[in-house]
Amino acid sequence: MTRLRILVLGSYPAVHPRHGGQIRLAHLVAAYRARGWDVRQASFFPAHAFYMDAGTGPADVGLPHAQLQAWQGHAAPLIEDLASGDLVAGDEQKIERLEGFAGKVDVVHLEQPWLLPVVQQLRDRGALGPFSLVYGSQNVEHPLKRAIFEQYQVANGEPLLAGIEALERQCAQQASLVAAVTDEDAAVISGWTQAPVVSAANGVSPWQSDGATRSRWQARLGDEPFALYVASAHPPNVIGFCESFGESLASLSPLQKVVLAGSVAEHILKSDWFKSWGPLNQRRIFDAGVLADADLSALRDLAHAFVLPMVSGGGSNLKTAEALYTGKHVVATPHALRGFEAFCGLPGLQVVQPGPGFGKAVWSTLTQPLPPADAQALARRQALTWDKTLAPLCDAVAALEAVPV
Amino acid sequence: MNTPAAQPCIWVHVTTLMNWSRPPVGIVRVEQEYCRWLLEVGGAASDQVRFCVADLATGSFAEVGREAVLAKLRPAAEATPSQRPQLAGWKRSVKRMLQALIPYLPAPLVPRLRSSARLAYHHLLLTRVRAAGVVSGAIRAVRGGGDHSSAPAVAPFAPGDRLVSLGLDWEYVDQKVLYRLKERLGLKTTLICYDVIPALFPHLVVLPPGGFGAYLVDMAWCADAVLCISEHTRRDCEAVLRRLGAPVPPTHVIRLGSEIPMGQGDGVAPQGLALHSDGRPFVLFVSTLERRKNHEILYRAWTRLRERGIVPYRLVFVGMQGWGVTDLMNDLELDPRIQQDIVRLNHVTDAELDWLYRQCAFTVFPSLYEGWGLPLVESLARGRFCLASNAASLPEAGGPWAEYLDPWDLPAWVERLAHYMQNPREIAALNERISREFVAPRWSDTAAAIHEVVLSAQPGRGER
Repeated sequence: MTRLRILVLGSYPAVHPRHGGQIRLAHLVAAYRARGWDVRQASFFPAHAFYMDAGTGPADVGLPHAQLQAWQGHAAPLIEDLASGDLVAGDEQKIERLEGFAGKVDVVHLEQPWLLPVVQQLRDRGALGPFSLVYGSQNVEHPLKRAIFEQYQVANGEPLLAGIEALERQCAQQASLVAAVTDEDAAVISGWTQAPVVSAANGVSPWQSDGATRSRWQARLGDEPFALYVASAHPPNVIGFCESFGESLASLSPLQKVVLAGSVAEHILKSDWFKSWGPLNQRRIFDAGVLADADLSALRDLAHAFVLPMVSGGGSNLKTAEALYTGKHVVATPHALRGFEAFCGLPGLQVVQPGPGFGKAVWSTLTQPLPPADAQALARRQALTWDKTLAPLCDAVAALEAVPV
Repeated sequence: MNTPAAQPCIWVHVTTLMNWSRPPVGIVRVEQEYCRWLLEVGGAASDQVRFCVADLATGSFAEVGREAVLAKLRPAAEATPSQRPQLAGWKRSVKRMLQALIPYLPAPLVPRLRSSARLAYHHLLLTRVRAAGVVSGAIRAVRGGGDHSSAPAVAPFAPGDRLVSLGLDWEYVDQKVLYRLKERLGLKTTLICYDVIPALFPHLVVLPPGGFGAYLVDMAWCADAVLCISEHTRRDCEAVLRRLGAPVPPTHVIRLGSEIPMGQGDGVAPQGLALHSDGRPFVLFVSTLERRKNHEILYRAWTRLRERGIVPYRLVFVGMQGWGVTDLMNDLELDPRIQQDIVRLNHVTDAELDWLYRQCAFTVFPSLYEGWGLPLVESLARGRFCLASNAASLPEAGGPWAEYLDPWDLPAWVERLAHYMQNPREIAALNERISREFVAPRWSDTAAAIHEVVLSAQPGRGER
């Protein structure tokens, strides 16, 4: 058996990952390398400070924001991802540099559909040799983009949405293997392709917090049990929180609170939902902001409960995996549990529809002791680590070796 | 400092009463009358009754002696109507200056100014009380400011005690502290909801700092029983709490007393009215001039009456100027059509108010929303028919004795006002019947009803 050579193409840097998509990409690369394969990774993304300041990989390319505002003649906001594929594919220098970096490969793993035009260029030019395409879907993207367009009232988005759906279908059709993050997404994509579609859910990197950091946060937060919500500013994370708790956070007692960690906090606090009962909600929120890993680990270990208030968005939620992994109380909407349905019944997990019942469930968990330690549940939770969740994908890629291209 | 007691105590929170130095407004009156009933009428029941004040600065409660509470009740109980407590000269000047400024201040500043003034006075009072040794040593045990929610609350309460608070809790009580005490000691708490106007009509009121929603919800979390001053208030309070997702404690409707000690003789005609006296009868509206009270509809109605060629009764507004009526005040000052018709009186004495009620043809009360409608009931208690708004609790307050109109239906107001002005005998008959048949609710009954709820409050009976 020869050593498999893989080029992983992504739409954000995989080094120093911060948001969920980056974390999945980084773990994907690590999982392939753990199999002993020769993995090279390159990403093309808008040159936002969020990415550029955090550091990029040797073949990563930040794209000028101004050139990502239109796709095939349709100008619109929030389409930098879609626009990036054509921009890179049409840039001879960037393609040549990528070819030089990748060398000959057996497999190109395309994470998310946006760079399919680049893959097509690479295949047409032949410099990489014949390769199999693995399409890594993180979401069924076009309905997600539709929801974002609606939230931000983007007009005339239909051609763009049609373009995204077409791109996703082409990815599935051209792929020798597709990875989905939930069974639900896998079912949708299976309808577009004859290729095998495997489910490889998002996972968890076990963490450990240090006593000094925990003490510091304990002093800031007090002794009352609190619920933790960790999320990025991704719009469904904001919408989900606001909709899941009903009209306000009044279901929490005067001593209870939800600690917001991550960039979601800023957006929740600015939302009309929050401001309409501002002082009431403010009394029940602690804005921890964007945190370093050590702080986030401390908060996870101090939290009495986790809230997963998702009502929209595709894919599976990294934060769901992390919350389930803790063995603490978890109050989740059915949507937040997408991809983790097998974990229903874990001690401490409550799946609650958005609305008044959600807040009451959070109140209730904060009045109860932590779920009892349970060996069987512990074993089930171990299946949430990245090495376990990505194993089906790695196995399927290994099987591609024998497949003629 | 907990005092061992054979039976659980009933603690009456009296910070509002202890801070109050003016003639009582509705909320203060409730607290005052309940205390009076406990101390003067309650008899044996009052043996278990103790009084406390809250200190926001330390997040603590401290006991207040009965004598101190009685001293606060005494002036109102013993003074004649005209013997009002007066502020010292310079304080009165400062207060009047600040009150005069209120209409010109940005709305968000008004509650802060009021609250700061009250809190400053509150701290002054606590200092005096401590110096006099009235407050127990417990209050000295905790110092420092800020968030006391995670500090052990200091209070004289013992496990199983009962607590009732009827005052301006949004200004004087740290509800986190109260909730923590309740959780720790199993206090059985009775709190009160006078209205939920800031939640339903925030544009009609000046919101207290911290937000009324936060107060109302935390009140619900702290209360084992909530007193409401009307069925309408009970419905609105429960609806708002359910809407927000808060628990809904058991609610109980109490009727506010409104018996009026009429002065001897005919009272004294206010000078301001005498200046405009031309022999015409007058219609009386007793209320602070603020948007919610809807003086606007009466001003418009009077202009319409004039435009129709009707020489209307005079209209007398009694009350200080509040928030949100700057344009109306300009209209009242400048509109030539009503210069001979609408009279504004402020700082009237009890004797003058007595005279006004005796002499008026009838009263009006076109408010957009009320938690109860005490002025309407007081008008009836004084034997005067009231043409009132049909909004919120007012039909409940006035029952069959008043007539109700949509507060925004100008043609209806014009028509009914013209009708009564043109049919004085009908008004006289209505007034005569009200004088003969209307029985004003008594404060002692209100206090007894409050006490019954206080004694029956039990944790865990609410709706979640």
